[in-house]
Amino acid sequence: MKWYVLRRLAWTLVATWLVLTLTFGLVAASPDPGASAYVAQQVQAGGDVEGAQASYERARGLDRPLWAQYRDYMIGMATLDWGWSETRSQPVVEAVAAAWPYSVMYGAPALLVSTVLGVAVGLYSATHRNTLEDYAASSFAFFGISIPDFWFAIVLILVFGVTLGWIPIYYRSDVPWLSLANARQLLAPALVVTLSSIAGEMRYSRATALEYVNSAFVKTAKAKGASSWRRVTRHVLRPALVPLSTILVADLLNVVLVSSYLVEVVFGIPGLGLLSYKAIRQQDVALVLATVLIPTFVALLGNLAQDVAYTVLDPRIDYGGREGR
Amino acid sequence: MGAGGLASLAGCQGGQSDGGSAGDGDASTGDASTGDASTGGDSRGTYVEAVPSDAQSLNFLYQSDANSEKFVGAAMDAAYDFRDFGEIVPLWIESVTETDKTVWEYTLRDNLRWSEPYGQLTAEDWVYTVRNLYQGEGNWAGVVQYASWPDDVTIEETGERSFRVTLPEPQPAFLASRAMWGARCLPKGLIEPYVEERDVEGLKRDEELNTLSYTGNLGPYDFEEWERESRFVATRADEYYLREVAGEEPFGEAFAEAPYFDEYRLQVIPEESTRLQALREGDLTFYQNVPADKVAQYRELDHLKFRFPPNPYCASLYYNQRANGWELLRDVRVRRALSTAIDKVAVAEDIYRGFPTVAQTFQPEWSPWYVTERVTEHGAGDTHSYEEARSLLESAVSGTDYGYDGDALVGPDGSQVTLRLVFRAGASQNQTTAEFVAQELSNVGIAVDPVNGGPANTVQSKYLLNTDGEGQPTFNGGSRDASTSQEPWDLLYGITLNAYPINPNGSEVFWTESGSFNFFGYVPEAPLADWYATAKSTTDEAARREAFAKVFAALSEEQPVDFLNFSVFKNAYRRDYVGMPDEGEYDYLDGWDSTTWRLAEG
Amino acid sequence: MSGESDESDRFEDVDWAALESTGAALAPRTAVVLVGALGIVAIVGYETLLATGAGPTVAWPVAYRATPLDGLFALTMLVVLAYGIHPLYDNPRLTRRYWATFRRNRAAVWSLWFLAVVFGLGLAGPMLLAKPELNVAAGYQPPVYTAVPTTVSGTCVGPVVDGMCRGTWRHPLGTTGRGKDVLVSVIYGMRVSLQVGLITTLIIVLLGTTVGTVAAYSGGLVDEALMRYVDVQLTFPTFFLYLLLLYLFGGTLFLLIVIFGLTSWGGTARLVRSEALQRREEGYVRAARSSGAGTAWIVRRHVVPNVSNTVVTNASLLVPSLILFEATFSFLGLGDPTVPSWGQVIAAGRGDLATAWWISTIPGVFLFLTVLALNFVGDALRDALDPRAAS
Repeated sequence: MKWYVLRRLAWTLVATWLVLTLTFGLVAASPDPGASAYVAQQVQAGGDVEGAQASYERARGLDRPLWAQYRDYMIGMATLDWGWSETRSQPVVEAVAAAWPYSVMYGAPALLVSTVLGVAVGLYSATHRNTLEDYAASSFAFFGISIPDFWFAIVLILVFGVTLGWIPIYYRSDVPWLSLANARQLLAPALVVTLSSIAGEMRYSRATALEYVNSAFVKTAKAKGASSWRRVTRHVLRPALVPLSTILVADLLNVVLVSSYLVEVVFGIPGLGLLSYKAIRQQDVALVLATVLIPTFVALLGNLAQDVAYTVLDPRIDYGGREGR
Repeated sequence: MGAGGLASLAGCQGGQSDGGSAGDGDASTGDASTGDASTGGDSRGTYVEAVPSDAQSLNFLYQSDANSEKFVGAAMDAAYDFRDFGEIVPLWIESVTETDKTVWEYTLRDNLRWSEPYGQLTAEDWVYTVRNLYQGEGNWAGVVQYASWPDDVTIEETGERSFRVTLPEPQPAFLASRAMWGARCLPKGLIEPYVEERDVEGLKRDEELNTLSYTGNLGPYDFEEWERESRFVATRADEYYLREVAGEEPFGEAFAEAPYFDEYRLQVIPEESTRLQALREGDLTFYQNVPADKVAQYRELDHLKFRFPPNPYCASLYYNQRANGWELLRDVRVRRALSTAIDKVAVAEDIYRGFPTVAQTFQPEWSPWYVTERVTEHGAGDTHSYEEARSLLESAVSGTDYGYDGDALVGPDGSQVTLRLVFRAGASQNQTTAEFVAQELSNVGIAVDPVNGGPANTVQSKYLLNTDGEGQPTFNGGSRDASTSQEPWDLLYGITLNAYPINPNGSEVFWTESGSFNFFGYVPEAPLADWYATAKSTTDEAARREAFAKVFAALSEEQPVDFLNFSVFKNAYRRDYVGMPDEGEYDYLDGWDSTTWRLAEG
Repeated sequence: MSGESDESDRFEDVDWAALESTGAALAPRTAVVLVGALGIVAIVGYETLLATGAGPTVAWPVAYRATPLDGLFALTMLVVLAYGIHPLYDNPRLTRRYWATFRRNRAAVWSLWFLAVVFGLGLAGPMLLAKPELNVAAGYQPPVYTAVPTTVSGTCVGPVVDGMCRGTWRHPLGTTGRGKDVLVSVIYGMRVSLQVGLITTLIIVLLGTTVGTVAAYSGGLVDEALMRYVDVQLTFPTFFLYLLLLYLFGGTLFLLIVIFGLTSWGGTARLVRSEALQRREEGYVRAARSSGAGTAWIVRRHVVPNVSNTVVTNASLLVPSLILFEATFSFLGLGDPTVPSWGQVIAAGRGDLATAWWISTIPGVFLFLTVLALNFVGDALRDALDPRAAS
């Protein structure tokens, strides 16, 4: 087992390198919209296409041979010198450092609330199946994943920002982070993110709980006279927490980096989702590589954690002696 | 920071930008100061404008788009701007004289200062910047200004504050070229180390260049902070050279205290609906280009007012006359017929809600080079007629393998002629217009298949760039028989071009056979190249006017493209933001004195 | 079974030779699917490669021209019918048992009827109704029984009373900014949602199941290799690939479906693998193996059917998220603007929510209800199909 984990860790590094290489390849192969616009502009101003392209590439260090650029980027990634972001005119490390607090500011509380609520609803649903309350709770949980995030965010701004005036219309980043004003303007984005993550947590906890709800030890507890609250918390929840915690990390990452983009665009929050999306759209190579590195690395680690958790859950599965079957 | 001329300098291709901005147009919204009503003489309020996308860099050597100009222009003016056709606003330059239109002498003002430790802005700085950066050998620095300073143009110092530019041949419109219009320079002390090492990376990453901390008294505001993707803040400059010039022509007394805001703030809000909400709430001082279908609602709001300055971007339907387009498009009669069949007025009125003005040639009506009597009209009012178009087509196809079979125009293979109309994705009106054109042309028996060409760079690489097999694809890769684009097309819509009414000589790149941007393969029957050459070099104003009049008359007759309309900016201002011309009187260049606009008291 | 019929059949009397399958004949179901698939491929191939001209190829009963997307959709329907619906017919007792459990979830039953309506309208509607037509003079018309200021609507199709333009029955749910009828757009959008949901899910299910079961059963190097590949694929920025292909080929719905089908099966594969790992240790698998069955046989005959419940549940939860995904892409401007999907209409109308609220909201409501229904059905399916949860 130990060797398995070590091998997987080594693989994580290899896979990260692989994904970065593929990403670099894709960026190199993609036409750059900025270059096209620049060339068109220069030609209309009296320049020529070759000269325009050459000056564009020279200004961005793209005139070096591809393998030289690749080598520099890979070495840079490994040594944490992530280069210069062309589209933001600052070092990539600074760009990421400036952006991640904003993502965490609304992402972490959202995830916390959605986990607590999701698990609670899931447990309730598992133990009270097919009752009206179950349907209501499930509808509430499904609400978030059944509507388009961007539409919901715009509606929130419209109703609570414009009509009622309870929240500001767009996010002001010069407000001190630990203030009431900041909390107020983070309410709506956090709400959107919370609602969209609840269903996932709910489903998972419901499925896990269902595994145990009808198991022997729970029935024994019931026969012994344990209250339903005690049964749920002490006997059902505890074993369910192990797999739950592994998906929590994956969820946080997913929220912060992927689904956050829509929220950040609509509310105008300069977080990581917006950063990585704009990097991709504008072909900012250094920034793209950095914003791909982080989630890749952590996702691979998360996969490893999940796989290890499988063996803990189900002793019949073991990775140790499976060779040569 | 003249809003009109300088802003239209940047970005020849108007219309939508694709990189990350949703919604149509360069929409910027301003955000007024939250809360406090300005009382007392010291507090002047905040100018807030919201922009759809952040500037990529504050280093003007590498950025030339209109959006970046909003950022950089706050902290730095330029050499000069235009306030009317032929009349410049001398900013950093005090005066210009010329000899034979070949030698141009510029004199800088004497009160221009960089920040410490660079001292005064002198001719030495200017000449050094031009010689080493703009005219750098092989453009080693990769700057955008290289195209404006060809090697045969020389510049030399003639005094501490004066320098001379010598052209290889007379150019009467040199003032309107981008070499000096809207041009800036850098302190020699700042760039010298990079020039000596030919250090492009260093030049790009230099902290002072990226934080505009060298600008001294050269601009109305001083850089304060720039939080990426969020906000850009500049504060009123303690010293501004233009204040000492107030009262001299053309600067009114108002310049003595310019600017009239304490803070200049650009807020980055990528989502258009959010920006518009901010405008509705009264958070913004200025919003550039409200979408056409919303103007009516926003005009009803008490706290807003609108102005509609015209802009020189011409939207056209291009006819592909290269070998991979419909062969009959090379026939003038066919092109005229198509232009007659398409109702431009409906496009302007219905699709664009009546804001653009109908175009008939490559100059807007308000341009001094537009001579109404000599322009041939198509597709507007009386000149829009399906019968007329059909008869033109019938006469054009007689003698060819094409003919009318009932209502449909059929080709040699017996099936109806179907044209491929490529439209650029990114603005919903592009698709609407494409479908409208399809409907119009179906009335003369031609079927049209609208095709989504993708975003701007995809359209460019697939349909604009062409090659004859050898050499790299360029916008005009060779003769129209030999050089074709990657994908076939017949009609194209969604690319707007700047007609440069200040100096139409630049439009030569579109309309001459060897013009570097003639991607649609137009071969003029009239001697346009000669007329352009005359206009470029003659020193006789009347001859110049005549030459251009002939050019634009010929363009309207030969219809290389169907000129559809010239648009306007639909700008919203806070009602108490005063200083701009009244509605209906806001002309193309009238934004040059926007530094003196202010919030009215009370 | 052949053998003596008058006495009780005894083990020694079984004529094994006659029972052995000849190996050449195909099961009738497979044959039908193959023939159907070939037909579809032939039609689509003809359309894309040989047919010329821009008009419809078939004029009666409706003007029609087959596109690759239609072909994929037809293939998907064929597979779903053959392998999803048909087994239910074949095995009525099993179906009744599933239905009994499913029926207990009332919300799911309502959802199922709603989905049936959507499905039916989505299939039949576009064949009977003309595609929403651009009509610049009738933009921003409000739904019937509502009214909107004329500053919003421009020219009004209905009566104008007090400066308010009233809705008419000509456009019962109003029109979009470009004059396209919202009701027709919603019905066409049902078809697009079906296409996106079903086709992509099918691709994901096929690939994921194959890889997951093979990996789990084979173990060793095969398992390692496959799962490591899945690792890379899961963390790969697929969005990037899509963007590149968008620049190169233009953004079509077909491209969206294919790319995301081909790159998103990693999660399913992992899920199936974990299930299959458990099944692998079951008695029947060991018995089959010791009787000499090969890997392919065991995987196809024993492992896949037993993980199919998980797969079906997973698939039923994939469909709604894929439909929403398409809406997101339309919002980002990366979708296919020529296709009248719900996402396109919602995204196009999002700037008008304050005034012309019906453009975004009505398709949004339909999208919401459909996705909600799919989620309910998926959960109920899980309960019905999962043997462990029987109470």
